[in-house]
Amino acid sequence: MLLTPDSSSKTGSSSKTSAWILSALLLTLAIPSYAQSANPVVEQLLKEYRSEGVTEFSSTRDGNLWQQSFDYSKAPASRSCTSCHGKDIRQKGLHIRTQKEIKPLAPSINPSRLTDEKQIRKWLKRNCKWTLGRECSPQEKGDLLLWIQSQ
Amino acid sequence: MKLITKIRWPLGGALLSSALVIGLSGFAQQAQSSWWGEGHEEGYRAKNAGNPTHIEECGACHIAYPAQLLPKAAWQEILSNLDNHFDEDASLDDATRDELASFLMKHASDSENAGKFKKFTRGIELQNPPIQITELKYFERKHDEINHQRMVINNPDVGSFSQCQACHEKAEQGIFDEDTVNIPNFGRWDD
Repeated sequence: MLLTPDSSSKTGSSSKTSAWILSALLLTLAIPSYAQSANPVVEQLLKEYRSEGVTEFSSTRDGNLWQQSFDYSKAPASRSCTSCHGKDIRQKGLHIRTQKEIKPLAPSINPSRLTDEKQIRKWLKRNCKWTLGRECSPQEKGDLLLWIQSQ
Repeated sequence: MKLITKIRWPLGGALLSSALVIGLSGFAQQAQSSWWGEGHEEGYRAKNAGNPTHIEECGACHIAYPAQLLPKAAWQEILSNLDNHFDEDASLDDATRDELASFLMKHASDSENAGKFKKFTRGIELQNPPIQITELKYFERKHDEINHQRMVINNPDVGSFSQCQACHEKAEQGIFDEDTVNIPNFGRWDD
């Protein structure tokens, strides 16, 4: 009632002013809380990795892991995240073995990315094993998520 | 004479109606066989190809190969080795894997839902089948007129027999009828 222009015009200018103050207050409260929980799914996972002993995450450190190559005896002999996803994750990727198109990973281009916890866990596990030959550490996973989120 | 005169109408009527019945039933049978027989065969159209879990999980890295292409034992073998799926880690949580298992078992080539794909069980050991569709006898027979080198391997838009969708335009909907085949750089396949 307080925030609708109709009701405030009927009851006079003082309640109109208080309506504006209240909405301004609500807005200022909303902005920081929105920015903080921009991605609650990633936040939740980071919290989990912190509980596993990680003290600090870095999105730039992970820009490096993304590009890093790992050697294999089996083809493809050199593997990297970029093998399938490419260097620029704002672009489409291509599965190196099946040639299937992979939609951009960058949330700025593809907002559905990093929104499904089950998907994130599944692909981090599989793709770390394929690329690094082992599962990623909580540190690596957190760094990767932050880096992807920043793209 | 008297007797003939008496029965000629009923006799004629009986003969005429039996002729009509025989004739009509013949027509009906012929119509049925041409509509449901050779004329309108059910085709290579996988029933229930649009299962969301199947598309999501199996279709993430390659096309979601229809359940009807492999027998139950092959799917079982594939599902129990997902952590090493043709040298890739395709592991799933148990609940998802179980859901996929029941879907694949229900529609496998040796299931009652196989339809025309039942032919893909020809010439293989059902208890110990190949797990690659391209190694099935019936697959080989159906593709024996395709020049493997020129049309597939060295064709930049195909590359491998495992890329069904490169030539079978409706593969992702589970449709493999011949009139949906278009080989890139070679054109429609009319046998």
